[in-house]
Amino acid sequence: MDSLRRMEELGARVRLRLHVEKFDRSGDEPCLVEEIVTEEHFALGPERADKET
Amino acid sequence: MPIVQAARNLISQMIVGAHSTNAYYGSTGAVLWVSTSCTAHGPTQTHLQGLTLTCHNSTMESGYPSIATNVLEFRGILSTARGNVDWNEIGLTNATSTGSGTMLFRSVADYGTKTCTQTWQLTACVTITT
Repeated sequence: MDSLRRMEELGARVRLRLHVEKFDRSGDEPCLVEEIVTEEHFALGPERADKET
Repeated sequence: MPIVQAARNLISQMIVGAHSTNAYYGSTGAVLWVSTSCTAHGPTQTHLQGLTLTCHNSTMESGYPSIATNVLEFRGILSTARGNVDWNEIGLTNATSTGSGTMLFRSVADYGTKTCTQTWQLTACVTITT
């Protein structure tokens, strides 16, 4: 786990952005009906997190 | 917070090359999952929390995952026949079975309910910063 501790000491962080695009397929052509985006920021250690939705 | 301990440990193993060779989240390994559970994220979770029957997955679209310096993008598509459940949780693993692989992250949010007349495209963008 030394490498993980080193990354935590360096303050490495991760941003996770999830993007869901919803297409209606009932017609002849796919039609975008809605988009949802969520974003979370967290450190590599499991104890800290900030969340935006 | 989406990352789990198993993923944390796998990342550490990958840094020193101690991981299994089939553990990569590459074009043939990465799998995006969706399911119904609203259960809060827990660091010891190893997969989505919805019942196995409500878990649906997508392998990677052509060209994914992509990497640009420190930004990774994973993309899957759930067609009209798949994923027709309440989307309350999304995860990324390196296996197409709920009983194997390592879940890299699990995120809980209300994305709505997919129906059989819709196709939903899911893109997960992971940015590692200093």
